[in-house]
Amino acid sequence: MTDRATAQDWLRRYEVAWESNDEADIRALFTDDAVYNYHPYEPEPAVGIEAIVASWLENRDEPGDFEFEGRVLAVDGEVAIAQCVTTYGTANPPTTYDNLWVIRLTDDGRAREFTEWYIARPTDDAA
Amino acid sequence: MSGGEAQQSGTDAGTVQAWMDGYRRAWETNDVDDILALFTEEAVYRGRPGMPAWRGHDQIVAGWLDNADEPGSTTFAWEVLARDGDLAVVRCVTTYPDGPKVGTYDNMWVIEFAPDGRAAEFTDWWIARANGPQPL
Repeated sequence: MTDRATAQDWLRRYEVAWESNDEADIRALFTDDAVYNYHPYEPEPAVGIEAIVASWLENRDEPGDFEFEGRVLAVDGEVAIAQCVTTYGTANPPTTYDNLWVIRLTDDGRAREFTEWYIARPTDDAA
Repeated sequence: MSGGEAQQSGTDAGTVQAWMDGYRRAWETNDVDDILALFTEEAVYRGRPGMPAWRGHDQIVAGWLDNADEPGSTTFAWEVLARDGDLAVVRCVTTYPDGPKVGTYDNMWVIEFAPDGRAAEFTDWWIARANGPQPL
């Protein structure tokens, strides 16, 4: 069972790690055997904390590349769902994504599974 | 809500089941009454997040019928991921074996329920799988 406060804290810590790309910040988010899905149907998830850290750093964003706003939408059992909007303002063209994150949290507040849904807004509307 | 019952953690499972059954029925019939029974008069329907919404019964029916699928053109499976307050989040998989939308789509439906079990807000997050139709 997780709760809203735990989910909100996880979301906050994810954002910190996203900005810092600090390995300890990333590790603190996931269990050792966590599964990280980049898409809802993901043939090649990152499995295990070592793979997640490596993949995170390989695909890292730099601070200032993006603006992010997220909130916890729903919490039920171990599942937390967050809705976010991410804008890469310096990309060409600037692109805004709607994100839905499905996070399965353990009792210690780490994710054992993370699945990202992201949908780009038409670039005409993002400017 | 008033009354002495213990507060539930969310919209009850039966409400979600009935709504999903109703949506699937309307999807197959494209019958206006079936469609309207799903939504409050002022409901907001988003066919995708970040896109302009259909607002109210008239726009929802018009938008629905513009995008109608023929009966029998899809297979559909779903499970509730979360119920929290007025919200239900439902994970779905839709497959079009052929036709103009051929392929398999992962859907996440975010439904905000009114007290009467109709949807006040509905958003369909959908993402097409890259490699065509897939088994459920």
